[in-house]
Amino acid sequence: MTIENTESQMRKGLLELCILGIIHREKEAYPSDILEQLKAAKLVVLEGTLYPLLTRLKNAEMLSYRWEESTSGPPRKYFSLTPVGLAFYNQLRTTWQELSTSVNHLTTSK
Amino acid sequence: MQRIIQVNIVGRLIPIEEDAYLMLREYITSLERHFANEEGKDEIIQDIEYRIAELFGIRLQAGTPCIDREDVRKLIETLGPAYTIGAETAEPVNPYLPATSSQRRSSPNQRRLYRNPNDKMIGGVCSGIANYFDIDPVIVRLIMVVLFLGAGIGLLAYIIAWIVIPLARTPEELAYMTGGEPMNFRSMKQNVGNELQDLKKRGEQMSQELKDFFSKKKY
Repeated sequence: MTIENTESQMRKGLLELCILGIIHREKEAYPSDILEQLKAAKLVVLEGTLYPLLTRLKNAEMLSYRWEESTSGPPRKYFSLTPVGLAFYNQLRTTWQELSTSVNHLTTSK
Repeated sequence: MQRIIQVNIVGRLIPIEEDAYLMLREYITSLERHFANEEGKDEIIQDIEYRIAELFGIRLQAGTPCIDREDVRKLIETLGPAYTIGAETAEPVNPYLPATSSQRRSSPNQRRLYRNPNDKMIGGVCSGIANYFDIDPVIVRLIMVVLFLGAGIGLLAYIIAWIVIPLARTPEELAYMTGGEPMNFRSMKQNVGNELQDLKKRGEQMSQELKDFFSKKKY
């Protein structure tokens, strides 16, 4: 049992919620955008973990995307939330709030 | 001395040193294996390739003449090795258990079993096996002939080996066939799992090859 393992499991578990949060906040976001924002928020993830997650969310019809040409590089895939995705996101967010209240309560010294 | 080649990554031309290219290819192959059972496999790999093109593009714009091994090493560090990617929503990986076979990839320095197109009597099986174990192909051929004449299982074994072992087609496959460490029993055991995953693809290639072989024989 190592601290790195436990930490990375925690982060991975919340990554889905964070990605949906970023896309919700930005209305539309492309993967490198999402990575920037995760970094800016000091949520350290291996970049590769993002792509399978986006594809799974898209296949579950939580996300839709459109292509946009970019002047500086390859074309970009812009993701946005579908109504199903929005409902899923709101549900997750509620759960997280409840969970973080509980965790704070239990880990604060009396 | 390093040869620099151009690769096309999702439509973008990237100048890259040959060594670095081999390293990148190995990485992408490891991703393909990792996502082999995933519904959106092709899409995930493509998305990752878009990111690779973007990151290399940034590197080149900064004035690097071409991508080298160090750039690829950094890229893999940024994206994460295959086994660390994508386990977060699939069945949870127990971090306290030892790595599974899919996570224990063969090292790029390991020799691989291919049929040898440059030294073949029929399908290159014996010569490929000889390369794998670093022995003289004549010995392997003799054993095969003895097996064939003695018990008649040689022919069947040969046909199965022909189907199962891929032909070395590209320069790097040839390099893997002859290069690296020759096989011993332990490293071979590790490799079997990986090799089996490619089996299906080979079946299709094989039928084409058989056709080619027999149509050539007519003339």
